[in-house]
Amino acid sequence: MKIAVAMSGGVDSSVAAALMVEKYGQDDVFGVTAKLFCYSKGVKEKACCSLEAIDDARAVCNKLGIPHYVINAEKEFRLSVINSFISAYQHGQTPIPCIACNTLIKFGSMLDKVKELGAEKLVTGHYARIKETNGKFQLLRGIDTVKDQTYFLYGLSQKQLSYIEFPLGGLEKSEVRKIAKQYGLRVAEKKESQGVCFVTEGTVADFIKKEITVSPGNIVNTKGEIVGHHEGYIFYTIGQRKRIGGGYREPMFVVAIDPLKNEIVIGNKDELYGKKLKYIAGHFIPGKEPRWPLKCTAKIRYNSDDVDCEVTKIKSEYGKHYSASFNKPQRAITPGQSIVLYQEDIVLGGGIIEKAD
Amino acid sequence: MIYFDHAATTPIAPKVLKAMEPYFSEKFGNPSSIYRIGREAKSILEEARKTAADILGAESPMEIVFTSGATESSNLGIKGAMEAAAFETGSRVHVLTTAIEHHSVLDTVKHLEKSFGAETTFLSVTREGLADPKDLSKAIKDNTAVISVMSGNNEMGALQPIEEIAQIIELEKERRKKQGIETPLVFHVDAVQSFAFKKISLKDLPIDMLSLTAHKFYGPKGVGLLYVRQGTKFNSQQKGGAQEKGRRAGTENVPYIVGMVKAMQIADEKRDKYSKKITSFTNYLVEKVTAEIQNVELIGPKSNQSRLPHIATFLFKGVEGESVLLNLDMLDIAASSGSACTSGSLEPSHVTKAMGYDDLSAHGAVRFSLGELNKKSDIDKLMENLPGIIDKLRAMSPVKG
Repeated sequence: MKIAVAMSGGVDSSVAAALMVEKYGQDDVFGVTAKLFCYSKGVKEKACCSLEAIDDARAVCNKLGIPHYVINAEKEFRLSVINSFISAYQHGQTPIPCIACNTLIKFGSMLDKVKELGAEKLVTGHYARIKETNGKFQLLRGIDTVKDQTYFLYGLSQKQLSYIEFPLGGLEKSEVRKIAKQYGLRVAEKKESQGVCFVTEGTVADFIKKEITVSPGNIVNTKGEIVGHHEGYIFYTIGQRKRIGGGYREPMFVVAIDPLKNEIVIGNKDELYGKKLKYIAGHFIPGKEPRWPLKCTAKIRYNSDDVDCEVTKIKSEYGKHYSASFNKPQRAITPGQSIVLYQEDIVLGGGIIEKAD
Repeated sequence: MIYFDHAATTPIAPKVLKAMEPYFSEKFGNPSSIYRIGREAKSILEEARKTAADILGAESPMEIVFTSGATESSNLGIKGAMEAAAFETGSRVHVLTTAIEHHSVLDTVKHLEKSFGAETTFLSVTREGLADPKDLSKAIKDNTAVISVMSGNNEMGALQPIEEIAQIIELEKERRKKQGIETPLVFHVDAVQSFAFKKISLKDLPIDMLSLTAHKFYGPKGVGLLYVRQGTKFNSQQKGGAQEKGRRAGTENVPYIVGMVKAMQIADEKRDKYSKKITSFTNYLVEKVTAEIQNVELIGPKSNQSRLPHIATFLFKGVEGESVLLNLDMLDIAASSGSACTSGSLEPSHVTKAMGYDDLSAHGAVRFSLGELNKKSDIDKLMENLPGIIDKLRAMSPVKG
């Protein structure tokens, strides 16, 4: 059985590869890194870019004595991830590109590619677990609750899960670093990657500015009165306090972004909280929808705790529209972020927040 | 390992390695030094130059400039001649080449356009990958200073009509003389892939500059030469010492130059026999592939006369060349997609593009290049696996077909 390990050059995927070599043996494991965008700066266009991360992944594979392949997914990444990222900002949202990348690239085109190379499993260094019962797959939170990455993986299908192995799901990050040291992997002390990977220079706003036209507009309060001006709504996200001017009677926050009117709406703390939201592109991991209403817990951003929640389906001609309501008001419900549904450790599914309701 | 990538590089022949050996630690002198071991190095260097000149049919050893390989040779020749012509005429000069050249020529020409203000023309080619001498003739302008055409294409093996082009250029030179047009005209040929198979005698063939690199014919990597016909003006690019008569500064790489010239000698002696052997291997490969695999096209010229004997590039419809290569690598079979882009850039090759193939089919290109390392049984071993790989890949991505 051939096993492909998706390697980013970081400590997690390197340890995942080491564990796979231990489990399946050198002969059956190979590493693969997807080249997702052109990293070169100032180098000639479309040159063969060399990248530290690819070199690191290759070095780890050399150390482990397994082959390493670089596959090109630039086109797919541009279409499925970067373009929708830009479009979300254009619609006044704050998107999470990693979710689309996992569902469509890592476990999409990359999975297809390694299958072409004869792999029967694709292994990644995600902190998540998969449980199989009678051919049905469940996605479970990683043991390390701080590192748990199921928030980014809720879009996986039964078919995708059947090909995946997550060897780090049962480990704490500290153990992973220890294993990396035991194997003498030079990436053991490497820093965590942060931010949006394809924004290599400047801020996300700088990146978006290059792709779309950004024009100034008004800042209004919830009554619709103009209270200031902004340089472009892409510089704002829900809950933000910066760039909204001052002199208000109470602390004010961005509570909505209206791309059609080119307006930023600000409100007080109460107006920042909401008990209900609508979400779209709903996905359920078991492959079929649950009974409505669904009682579960939810995370409405990666770094938030689970909150009790009730989900129902909304009748809509566009399909896959859902409504989630919470017992307690939630701060800064942000369009473009995802809502991910859990029952205990089991991930039920999720979708993309359309708006606070 | 089964190695089908001789167009990328070849191993150093044992005789070549042996010839190089004394010049690393024992006879290590600098050819520019005045004492004995320096003089000895100088004399071995000049002997090598003489041998190289003789093999190429050059008039004088002076016409050989040793370099670090064909990339440097082509850079030096093309840039050098363009600079000299611009300097001499005091005006904008034109460079004419084909769309299927190696990047060392293409990018040099593009660089001249960008930073030197040169006029450029990239001649298109036929579906078979051949440049038409008539098109070339029409594209020559009064201010054309350099014409660069490769003799054999590295990606699909098309042999360009160098003799015919050389005649056209000779006629153009005569016309300029008659009409008092002062712009000098230099004909540069990249003969990297063809040298081992096709004899070029510069006595009979009016080429002004020729680039070679040793590692394509069982010599070491990192050494090459530029032939420059006497009287051809060109500016040196690398500044420093007066080595190579001031045309290429830098201490001469004596052991590698000795190795290259030894490899040239062997290639020259064995050329006919070698060509015959490799042609029969390649024919066998083409026969097997086209018989045993459906929907496959051998790209490049149809006639063996217009092909390099060692290169067979196939388009397997409905699959990505990259996937084929990785599957072969897993069986320890080495082949390539034509251009050596290791970081997995899927930019379709400029060569297949110029031949009129669309991006999708161009992605299916796989190049096999044969040579000394091959036995007939290698091809049988390849064919035990290749049809299965292609079938498997096609079954997996039916949409792409």
